[in-house]
Amino acid sequence: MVRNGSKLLIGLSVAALVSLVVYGATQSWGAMGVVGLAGALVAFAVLAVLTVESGEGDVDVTSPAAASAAATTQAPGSSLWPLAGAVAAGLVVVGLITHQAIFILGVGALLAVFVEWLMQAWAERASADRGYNVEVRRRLMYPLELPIAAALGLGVVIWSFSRIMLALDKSTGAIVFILAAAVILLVGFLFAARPKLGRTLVAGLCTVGAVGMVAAGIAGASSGERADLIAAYEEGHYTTKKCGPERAKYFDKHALRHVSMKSAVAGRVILENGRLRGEMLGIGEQSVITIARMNPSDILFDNRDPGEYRLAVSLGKAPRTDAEGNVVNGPDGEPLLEDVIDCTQLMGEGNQGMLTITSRRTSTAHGPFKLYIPGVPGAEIELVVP
Amino acid sequence: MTHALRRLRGAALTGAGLLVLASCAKDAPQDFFQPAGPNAQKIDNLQKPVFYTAGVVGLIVIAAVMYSVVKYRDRGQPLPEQTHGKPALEIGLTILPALILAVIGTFTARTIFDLAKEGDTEMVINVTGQQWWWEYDYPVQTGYGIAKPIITSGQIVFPVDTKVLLRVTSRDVIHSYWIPKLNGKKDAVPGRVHTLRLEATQPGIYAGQCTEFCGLSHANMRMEAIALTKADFAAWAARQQQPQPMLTGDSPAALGQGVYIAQCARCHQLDGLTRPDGTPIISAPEDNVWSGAAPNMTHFASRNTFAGATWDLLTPQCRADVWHSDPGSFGAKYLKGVTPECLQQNDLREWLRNAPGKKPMYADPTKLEETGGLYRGMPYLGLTEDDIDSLIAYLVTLK
Repeated sequence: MVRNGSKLLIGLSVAALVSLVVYGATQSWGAMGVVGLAGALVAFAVLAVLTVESGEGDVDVTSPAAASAAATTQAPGSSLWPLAGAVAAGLVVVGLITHQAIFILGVGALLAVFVEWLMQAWAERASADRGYNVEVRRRLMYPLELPIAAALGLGVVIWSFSRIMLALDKSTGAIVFILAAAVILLVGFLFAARPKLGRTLVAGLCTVGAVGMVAAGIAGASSGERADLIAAYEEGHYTTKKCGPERAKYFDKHALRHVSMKSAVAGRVILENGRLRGEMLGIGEQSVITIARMNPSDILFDNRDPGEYRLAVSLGKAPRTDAEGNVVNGPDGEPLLEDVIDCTQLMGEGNQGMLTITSRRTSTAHGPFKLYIPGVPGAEIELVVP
Repeated sequence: MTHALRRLRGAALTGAGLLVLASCAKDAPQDFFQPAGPNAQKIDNLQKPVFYTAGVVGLIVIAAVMYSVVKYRDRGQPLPEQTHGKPALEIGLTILPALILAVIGTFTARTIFDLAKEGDTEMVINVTGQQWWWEYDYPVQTGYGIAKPIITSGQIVFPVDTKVLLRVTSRDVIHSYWIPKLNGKKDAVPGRVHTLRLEATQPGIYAGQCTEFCGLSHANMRMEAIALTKADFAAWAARQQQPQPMLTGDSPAALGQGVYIAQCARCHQLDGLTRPDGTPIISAPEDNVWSGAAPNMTHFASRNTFAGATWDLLTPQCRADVWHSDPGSFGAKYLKGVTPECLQQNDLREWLRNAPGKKPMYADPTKLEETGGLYRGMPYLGLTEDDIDSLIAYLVTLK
């Protein structure tokens, strides 16, 4: 006997199949939409087969008495799903007008409401025993609900923590999180020491903590990132810059401390005693530094001399371009050429800066290229881009 | 024995037989159970004891399970006595695996640190992956006769008994570099430089394969490591640093040079080619290819494979002669490169006729929106058969 739940899934399978054919024929069979609809078709079809085969659970569908008794013995309980569905639909509408993320959130919520409501409605008619129905629903849904809830909860914690950390300055952030950790430890100790604490009190404390954390996260997100992070972003996270007047304030003076940099150094250039020398991983000191063409290569500048110096790279000359990227010609109709130079920020003694070089051109054709220290005569080393 | 059991036993024996036969393959160039260098040997020294230990443990577990299944199978007998708790056994079965794992872990950690050594490096080669070939560039290393950088592809050439450090990276997506007989795998990640040691004790060719799925032709992204004696390597390096001469006249090769300049030089650098005004012709792969690079063709015929080491330039007999030569004569045979009598034209001809038809690539001009019109792989060039003939005649001269 095919029951209502199975009929719904069969109907959805047919709808997915029709949509798939229509979409594929009118758009493209290679489009992602076809893949999505095919996935939906397979999912609905598998669920339909399972529900038909299993008689939608343990109810003896071959017994008309059992089937009729299941639906009529008790009225279903109250449900929050209509309300949740309305909120989700509202999010979809608001998202359509305002922001894509809200729209996606609304669609996700609608799907969740659909599945939950479907399962609840089915479970309430599974048998005449309300306790059994609740148990059936849990058994089916908990393996799905609990991991999703845990992932969402973890996401909220990570998001809240990150917003708080990005909003507070470094010192305050450290103090706040030491205090937060101490409070969590204290509350945990309290729970462990007083095992007979009331469930309401425990739940209340946890709720207050969770709400406080989310509220702080929202407050942090509203106030935005702290000033130095914004400035560092605007100035470029690393230290490559167009050579010119110094303007960066928050740039990185110890580039090698970044984990991402440790395994990305193509070569190291050291200024020591007014002399520049190069080192490449594995082969030590080098008279030239070689980097691959069209491959971003990080050169680490290590200043060991007193005073502030920057490392500059000269990549020959290239046609000047305007803001739109068009080549600018001179009065003679030939492209105007300009020096291609990049620099690190000024580095004090003991500091390290990273210079990322991506050369479209070879040093053999457009060179010679060189790495040098402006203002220090003779402090240069050849850069080869084969 | 029931009919079902007999069938099951037959299937199991057939499967086991096939498994044994599979291990008898003679031509298995990527067999990591045949290490050919100290790094691969270190891995082998670790993996074999681990494999044997795991095998013995697995057999004991299977035997215990089978014993329990057969002895205590349901024959309608009453349930045996249900007991719980056997401290000595439980502690023993916890400590024994922990000890085995601790011993394996200790040796594994030591091997990992051994393989990660860089301090004793003797030579460096930069290895860059892109869809779907590997580029090798040799920085200036005067101790090995490399006075200016060498760029090659498909086959990495290095001297035997030399601790070579590969600096592995990528220009587009994540690839993974693996020459099984010489060392383990190393991912090639855009923007990062990962190091991998390579060392061979005997001259020869060692095959490898990209081991990180990297798109349509991942399976066609191969590599071959060529180990030469130090004298042979010096000869190879010296030749690689020489530009090619400009050909003149109307020989097939000279005509092929014209086709090359018109069609191939846009992306493929070939050192020595010049314009009529004498200025060098510099390729601009960044204008045409998504990764911004195409294989350097200066010494194309000194290699004996092409298109990501996927196809041979040598006839089967010549290929076998090089691959299976003894270590003493290998270098001389390899350094001969592709001779006219050994040239296997079929694959090269098909490649030049329609590269994307030969090797799946993203080279359909109508489907390049995602890359802003840049190809991923070599496009169809529409060469005539005459163009192909002369181009092959020219390419064979590039030693």
